[in-house]
Amino acid sequence: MRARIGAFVRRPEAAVVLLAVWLIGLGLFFRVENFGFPDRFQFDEHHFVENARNYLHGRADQNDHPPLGKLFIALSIQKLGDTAVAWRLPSLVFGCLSLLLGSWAAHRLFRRPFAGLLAASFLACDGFMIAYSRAALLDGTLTAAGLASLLAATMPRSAAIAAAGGLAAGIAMSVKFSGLGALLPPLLALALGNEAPKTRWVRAATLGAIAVVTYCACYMLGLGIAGQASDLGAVISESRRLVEHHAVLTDMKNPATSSWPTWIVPTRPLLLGVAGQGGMVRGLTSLGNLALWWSACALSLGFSGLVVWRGLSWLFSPTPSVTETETESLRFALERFAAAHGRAALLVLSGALGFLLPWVITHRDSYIYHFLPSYALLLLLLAGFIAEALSARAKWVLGFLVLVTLVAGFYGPLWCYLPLSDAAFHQRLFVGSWR
Amino acid sequence: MTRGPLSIVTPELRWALGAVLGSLALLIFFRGHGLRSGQDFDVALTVVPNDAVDLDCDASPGPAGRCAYRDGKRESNVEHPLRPFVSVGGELMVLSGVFESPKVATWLAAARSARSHERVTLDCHVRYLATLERVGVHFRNGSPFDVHNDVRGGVAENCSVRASQ
Repeated sequence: MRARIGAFVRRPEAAVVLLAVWLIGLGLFFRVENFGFPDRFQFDEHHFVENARNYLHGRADQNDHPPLGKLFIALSIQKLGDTAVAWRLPSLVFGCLSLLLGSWAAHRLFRRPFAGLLAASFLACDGFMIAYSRAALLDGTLTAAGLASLLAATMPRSAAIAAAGGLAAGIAMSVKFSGLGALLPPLLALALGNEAPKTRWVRAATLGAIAVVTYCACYMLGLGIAGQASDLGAVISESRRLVEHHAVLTDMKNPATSSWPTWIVPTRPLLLGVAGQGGMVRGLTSLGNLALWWSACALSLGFSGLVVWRGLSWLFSPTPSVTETETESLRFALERFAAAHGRAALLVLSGALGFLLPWVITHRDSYIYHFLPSYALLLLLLAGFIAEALSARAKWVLGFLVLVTLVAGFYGPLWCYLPLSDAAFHQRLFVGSWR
Repeated sequence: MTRGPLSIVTPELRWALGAVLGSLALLIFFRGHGLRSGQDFDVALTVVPNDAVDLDCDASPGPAGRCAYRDGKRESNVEHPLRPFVSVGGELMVLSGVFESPKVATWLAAARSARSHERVTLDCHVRYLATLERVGVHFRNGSPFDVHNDVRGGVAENCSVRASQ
């Protein structure tokens, strides 16, 4: 046993495991450090907490999203009291659940032992994911549901895909309407299955039906708790009212808005909270781990560009066309990844696209937090790519993880309200629109 | 020759350990320092005329100055007491000399004679003196004091009233 451990420790993969575990530990620390701070609302929390209070008092929900996210907050307040910890606990639970769901999905998708571990570490140590694990907002919960739908898409049997995928998508839609994007990965998984077309159509219809039933059940529950009519007609009427409300929010005048192409940079990550204390600044930024952010976006664009160039049919029977001198190139690495994991990558990208589409095809006011579910999925794609690269390029992988770790240490104080001097605060948020 | 325990620390592991220690160092040591006593900073505050009588703090005397109250009792002969203010950026601090600043005093006199309740923004240049570990504050005369920890205290050396738009 000692000999085996000794042999493993001498391999480059041991260093990768060490860093991945460290990043997971660091990420968990960032999620819980100063968790109840501040004890007043930050950013948009008032929209959801006040309506959670409305549910507790049997009053109507005045917020413009379906009820489920607020019902979770209401349950937490009911059990733990009306405190900042209670408001934010559901986000922390779903944020931690996202690590498990994402890790499991990556492990099943990419069939590499390190894919799951790396997915967990990337989701853990990214500031965007951390910030939404510690704020009483809905997007962390939506992201967890999106990861659950991707996990459902990896199930071996199509009946399981339909059932679990429908449930996950229904829950996602019950948090925010943009949860509709969660339908894509399981639907694509069914489309790519080996069963007869008729069976696949039946499974897809079952998935849709389960999603709709789940959505209606959640909405009825909320309406009933709020003391309103809670039949199917009321769900339809309320849903239509909210859709019409969202349809007119198109002026992009709120200074926090940002259009979807800018999310790659990003130009306007949100400062969810900031407070001065004793001459220092304490803040919570939704700016991600920049090493992960730019890598995940670049990989997704590169992979998508490769698919557009080669065509989808190439993806399912690719023949890497590189010469001997190109064996170390990024293009070769990308083509090798596509050859090994094309189907998995398509499932991940379908989910990312599904959550992005509402902001691409409409002019509805968009904010960077609308990117969170897509970004979580892109982190899984990055994890799969890095895991695939590990065997041939261990030193590059290690170098990348070293960079991710150092960026996490540098930005960490702004992910958990640790005090910084004014100068240190500006050093980290060096772009004006980031502050 | 037997290999010692450190022989298992490969170059890759050294890099990984270095990254772990590096991230810890960045997290713990590279966060900068707060203000030092005597250092200046600028702050924007908003006030209404009644704040000149309503804002009070309750704390033991210290390097930052004296509050008008101590242990719940009004102190006598406190010249230029510390008063609580919340900056535009949301930070609570206790400052003396704000309403005594010439331009603010002029505004206050004019606002009182006009019986105005308009809220104005003050731009103040403050000399930081100390951080109060524990201080009670109230923003209305007669209301109970709320206790806050680690509150910056200083003296406003020059405040001006920002022109309204």
